[in-house]
Amino acid sequence: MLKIILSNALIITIISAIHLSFVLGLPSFLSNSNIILVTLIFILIFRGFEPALYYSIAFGFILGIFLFAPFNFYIIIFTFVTIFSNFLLNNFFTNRSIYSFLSIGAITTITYTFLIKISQYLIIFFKKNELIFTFDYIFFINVLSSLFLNSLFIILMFFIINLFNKGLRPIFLKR
Amino acid sequence: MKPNRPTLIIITTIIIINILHFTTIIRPIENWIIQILNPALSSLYSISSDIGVFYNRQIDKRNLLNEIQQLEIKNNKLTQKNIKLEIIEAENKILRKYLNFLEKNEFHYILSNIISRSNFLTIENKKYIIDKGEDDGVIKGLAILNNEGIIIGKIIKTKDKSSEICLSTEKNCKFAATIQNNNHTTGITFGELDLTIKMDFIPQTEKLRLNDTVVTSGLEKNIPRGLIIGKITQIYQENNDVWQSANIEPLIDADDLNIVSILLPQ
Repeated sequence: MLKIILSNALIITIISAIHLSFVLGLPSFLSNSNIILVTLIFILIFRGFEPALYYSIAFGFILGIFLFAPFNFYIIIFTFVTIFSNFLLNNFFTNRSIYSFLSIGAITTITYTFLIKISQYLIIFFKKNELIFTFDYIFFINVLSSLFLNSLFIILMFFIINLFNKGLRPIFLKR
Repeated sequence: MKPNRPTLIIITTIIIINILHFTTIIRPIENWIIQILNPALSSLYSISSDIGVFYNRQIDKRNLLNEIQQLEIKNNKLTQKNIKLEIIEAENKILRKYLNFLEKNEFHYILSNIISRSNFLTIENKKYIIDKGEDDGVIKGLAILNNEGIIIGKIIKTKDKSSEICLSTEKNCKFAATIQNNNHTTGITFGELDLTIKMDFIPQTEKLRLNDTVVTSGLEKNIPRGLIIGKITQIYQENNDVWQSANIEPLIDADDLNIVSILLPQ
């Protein structure tokens, strides 16, 4: 049991570290990829809802202690995104095809962006700061680049896992 | 209706984490995690930043040739100026030694690594996180400099082992500034579109010139006078307005930085 907890903690720490420093430090639109979201989708599909919930809370906790946003925000956002992805997985994308992965990835990315924007508005509202962002073309380019990069990452992960796990096929299959 | 198992997991875990966090019971563990991860984060950020520098260099390559020609001409002029200044600086140092003022005017600073930065997909927009915090004597409002002594931002939030900085190009990052002209015009600078800096509340009577250097005025607590903010690239003057404003170009790109210095209170 302790071994499982430690190995999961290690995975969470490594992915958080890569996301916080490597991904966010990348130039231009490359920093818009979100490996935490992609990891959550894969955990949800392969290991189930409960482990995904633990992962989302752990990722939220690590981001909460490293970043300077109010502590709970990332925990709540990741948890909500996991619950929503689980709902999609159970009701709309019930097979393990790459199309399901990509669809869930895209919807999750948009949901996450939407929740981040709501959080930013909430902070601005309560701190009474000046509005510092708008929904201009740069925002939509960022969303598109985020969708593209996350999809690319999902495809890559899908084919890597497919090499070892024959339960996946890049076609529609019933679970 | 009974709540199901996942709902209970979420609620209890979040409640427990919050109680432990806000009562600061797990603060030592949080600090330990940050302390353990900081070197790794710093190295990862450094790799990422190097990729960024390489990427930007490739994009800028075309413009570089033109810039080099212009810079060569500028460089010759500056070399002449620099020699004169070096002589004055040497004289100045000797005089200061005599007057025993050297220690008083040298800045106290600590070096810090950038470990992360935020983008449009993080709640805090356009901020950088460094690996020095309250435990190292860092407090809110301290100036952040690059290796050439140019101010790039200031501390806005602190934790025990890390701090958050805002860049001078960010809208909510304001500095009390002075223009290096005859009248030493003062005003307030703030970022615009995360790219440039704007200086506002400059009286209409003040005469501004393009390429005038803008420095900190020293009116802010813990930010000394004379730290370079940038150069004036555009002046906005309307006859009907009480104030005029100026666009300032920052002299450095913060995306290329891995290490910064924090100016500590004197």
